[in-house]
Amino acid sequence: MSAQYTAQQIEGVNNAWHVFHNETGKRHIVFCNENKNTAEDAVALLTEEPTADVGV
Amino acid sequence: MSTVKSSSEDLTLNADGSGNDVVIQSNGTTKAIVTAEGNVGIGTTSFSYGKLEVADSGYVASAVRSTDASGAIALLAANSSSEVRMGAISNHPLSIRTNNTERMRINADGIVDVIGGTIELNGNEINGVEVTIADDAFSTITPTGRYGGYLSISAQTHGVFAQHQYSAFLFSDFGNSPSSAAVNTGVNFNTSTAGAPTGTTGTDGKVTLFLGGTSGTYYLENRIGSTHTFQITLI
Repeated sequence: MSAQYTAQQIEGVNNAWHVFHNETGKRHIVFCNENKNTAEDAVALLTEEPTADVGV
Repeated sequence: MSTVKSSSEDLTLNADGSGNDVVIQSNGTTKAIVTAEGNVGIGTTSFSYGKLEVADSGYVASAVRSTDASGAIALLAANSSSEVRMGAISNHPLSIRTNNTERMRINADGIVDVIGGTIELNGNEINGVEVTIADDAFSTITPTGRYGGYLSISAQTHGVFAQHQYSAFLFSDFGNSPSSAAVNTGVNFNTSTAGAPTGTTGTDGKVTLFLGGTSGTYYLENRIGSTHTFQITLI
């Protein structure tokens, strides 16, 4: 898991995570696929999202 | 240097007698006081506002700091007649809490988050959240104290590039007969009143908003083919 982020599962919602940026404290809400639903998966979704415009 | 020291038992500084204060002076001038009434003052011997008062002319600050490496430093200050300051002196977020639960966070970069609650402007609620949803997954969002209304959903790539095809502005009507009416939707945005999806309920390649009946819950399912971020605002 990226050392830049810390993930905490949101109580009451099975696939939801709070992902905090460790330096800025900025909080992201991430919903995982239920088959890949670990803290590492939540951070990966945030950091691996494509950064380019997909067009259309 | 003179030292008052007790090595084997507690040390009591006692202004014995009713109404007597404990006064700490430097060079004959009072710097701090613990009054007979239990008030604590630094720079003042009179109390108008609380049990602990810190006073001086000009800029007056009190700070609480962690001695850990890169520890957080909290500030509460009065700046002459111009302003009151509160927050973090150090490069850390400011967490504002009630009932020992975080309600609002001002991040170190200045971004303000309202957490799990509602923003009101003159009594009119605005619920907003940014969520990142994996492919073939869905978010569950239940706004506080609201059942439907105008809803803006803006799909973003990494929160930067807006994607109209996966976005919508619509009216959502919850209750026993939930429905939605689109003001504007992208070509790859669908709506459904079928309740909670599975992550693969909607059409592949599209985003589908499911209304949760009388629960007031929105389920936003992402079947675009990759992870996407959505800004969701209930107006």
